[in-house]
Amino acid sequence: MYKLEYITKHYKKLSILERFNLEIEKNKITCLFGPSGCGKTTILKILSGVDKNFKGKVSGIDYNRISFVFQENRLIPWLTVYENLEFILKGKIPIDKLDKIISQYLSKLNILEFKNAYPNELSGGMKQRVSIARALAYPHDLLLLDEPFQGLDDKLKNDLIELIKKSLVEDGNTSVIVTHQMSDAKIIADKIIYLAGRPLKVKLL
Amino acid sequence: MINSFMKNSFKKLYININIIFILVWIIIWWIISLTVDSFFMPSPFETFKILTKLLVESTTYIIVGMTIIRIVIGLFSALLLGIILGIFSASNKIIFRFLQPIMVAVKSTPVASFIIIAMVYMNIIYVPIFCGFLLCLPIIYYNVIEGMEVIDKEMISMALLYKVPKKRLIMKIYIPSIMPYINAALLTAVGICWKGTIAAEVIGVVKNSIGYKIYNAKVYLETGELFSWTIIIITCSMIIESIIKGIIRKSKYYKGMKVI
Repeated sequence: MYKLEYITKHYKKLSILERFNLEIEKNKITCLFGPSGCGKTTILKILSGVDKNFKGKVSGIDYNRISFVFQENRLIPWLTVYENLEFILKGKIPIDKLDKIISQYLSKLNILEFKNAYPNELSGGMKQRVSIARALAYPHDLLLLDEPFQGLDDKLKNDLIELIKKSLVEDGNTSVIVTHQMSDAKIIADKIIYLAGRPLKVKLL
Repeated sequence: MINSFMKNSFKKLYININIIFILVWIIIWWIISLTVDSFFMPSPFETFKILTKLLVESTTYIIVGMTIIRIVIGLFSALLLGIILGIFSASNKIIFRFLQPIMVAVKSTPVASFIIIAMVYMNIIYVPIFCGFLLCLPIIYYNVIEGMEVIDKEMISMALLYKVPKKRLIMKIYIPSIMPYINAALLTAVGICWKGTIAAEVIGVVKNSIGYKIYNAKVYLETGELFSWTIIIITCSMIIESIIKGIIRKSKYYKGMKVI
């Protein structure tokens, strides 16, 4: 179980989280669902250690084994698609397997033919797929996805859902997905947590 | 195919127009030279004659080479120190504040003051290098700071999340991020370095230098020679600038970005 305990987070004078508690079951896909701008992304950032500016306790997490699909693709513009993946994977995956793994994930997301392209040569949806491939290829126990379906068509969305479910079964991963679309949440999640209010509260559906 | 043909034709047309404009200015120069004494303004033909005479002499190349060496030493030592100090200042506010008075003073001091102050303290042969260095240092320093400030924080947090080693972070994110700023600074600095170094050579009367030749031409009232040396300076400056631009364009980091 991953736990957020008594988390308090303020942004300037705005109280986003106030003694907030959340439990995330391992080996499950948990969906954080709620209106835009309510603080769902903040929870992912606290879980991942990207945001350390809060009070409270986070437990159960191995910070060396987290993958994160950010809302913005966060690709490095002067590195090719291949080099963007290599940038984070070198040293984490044995060097002789590196090329195979990168190609494997790029092909799973249907972007292998663009492996030598630079991010500015790709469309928004393609960049998003590179960012997803990067997260999936990185050895992880916990996969955090912040609105991952933005810019993806229905087919790709379904493929991605299949990929996440498969990686869950094969590697025993845990996923936390943030979305503001109930339809997406229903398709993918084992558990849906509805969040709303200021400061943010877990609500019953 | 048609597109590339049209592009090439436009390029040729553009170059031709440039040549025509340069010729127009030479004609204007020639007309003015007809109206005044050749002592005040030599004609383009006279200047060209002196220039060709200079270009066949081997000493001309030695002199130009010596001045270029001074410029390169001044420019690259400013580049090295500017990058190091810029990175430290951008990462630490106290270092920035500590260096700020010196940098502001260096930035606002007129070249002539530098030269004369430097002449008091050091051997005359080092003064042009020192002046070029001082003129370029603040340009590079402030550009590096600006480059460091606009580094994408989200990209850094992504790299930290995926536990990317520090060395790779510096090589693949920090350096390429500040590279365009260093390149822009270098292009501005090279022109300023030429002017500053030659000014110091003139005022310091440094032997074996373009400045010394200009000084002599002034003392002996040889305006033709003065003009010829000026043409040599302009040409050399343009060549060096285009070499630097070429290096920048070839730089790997520009492939994913727009080339300036």
